[in-house]
Amino acid sequence: MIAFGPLPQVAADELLARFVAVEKWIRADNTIRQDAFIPPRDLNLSVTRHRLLSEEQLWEIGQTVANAVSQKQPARLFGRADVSVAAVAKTALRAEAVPVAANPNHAHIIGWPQDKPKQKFIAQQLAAAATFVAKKPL
Amino acid sequence: MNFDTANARVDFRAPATQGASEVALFVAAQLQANRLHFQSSYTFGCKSRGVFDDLFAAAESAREAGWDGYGAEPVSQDAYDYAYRFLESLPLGTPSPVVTAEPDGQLAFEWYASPYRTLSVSVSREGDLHYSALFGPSNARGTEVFLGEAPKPILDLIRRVHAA
Repeated sequence: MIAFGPLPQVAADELLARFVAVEKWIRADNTIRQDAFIPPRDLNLSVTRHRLLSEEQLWEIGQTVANAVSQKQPARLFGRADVSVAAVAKTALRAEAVPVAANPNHAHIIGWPQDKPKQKFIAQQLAAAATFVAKKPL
Repeated sequence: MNFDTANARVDFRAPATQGASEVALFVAAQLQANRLHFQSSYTFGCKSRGVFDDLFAAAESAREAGWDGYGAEPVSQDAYDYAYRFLESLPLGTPSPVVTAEPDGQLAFEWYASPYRTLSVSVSREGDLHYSALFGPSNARGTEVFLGEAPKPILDLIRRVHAA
């Protein structure tokens, strides 16, 4: 159970996790493909703030992402792409706290352009700046 | 829903040619037939290297909304058809891309040398090819409408990514 008081806005020195339940988004060299950072149509890219979470708690939240897929097809959590708020800011995007019941650390990366090539360029930059952390099998 | 290649609604198999004479159409048709034949060969084409299978697998795995666990859009049959034809249109000897699905329901092809030397081409359900390439600090990006032939700017970027 993860419980917090009122959460502050996302700070510049924070780390954000984008959980990956799609194996093809991870390259053989353990880097992450741009696909993991392409925004959905509403242009709110969901991430989880590391703030105050242990590794175990982070993976617990990540597992809910994989569980959402496994309701439709076989799925597992492969890992997470960690990216700093500073790297997000370099692309002129920003992170905004959007707590939800199951994940008080939930946030959105917002400010995406509508233009798809520009989205891809930003996603490539975020992917290049991100560190992939593999989920160890149980 | 299963993705249907045999009955693809987007058909660019008609020969691409500037000429209108019977001879021009015949020559273009022969070239097209030869290219499709060679696509099946291990040495020259993508087909035997499994890229078409990868395309099918990527589309199949993303056929339902929410396939990424975050509410992704499903890949449509139209996007699959255009992606298939784009792959087919690549010149013989083109390095094989990795195929993925994107959260907005587009299919993407990646040519990759390193995180800062990479090209990604997305294929939309409307047949638009959105691309972005990173070459260190510089970037090339844009949109080309797919009309049956692989656009030259994209072919040039593939060569640049894989240049020694």
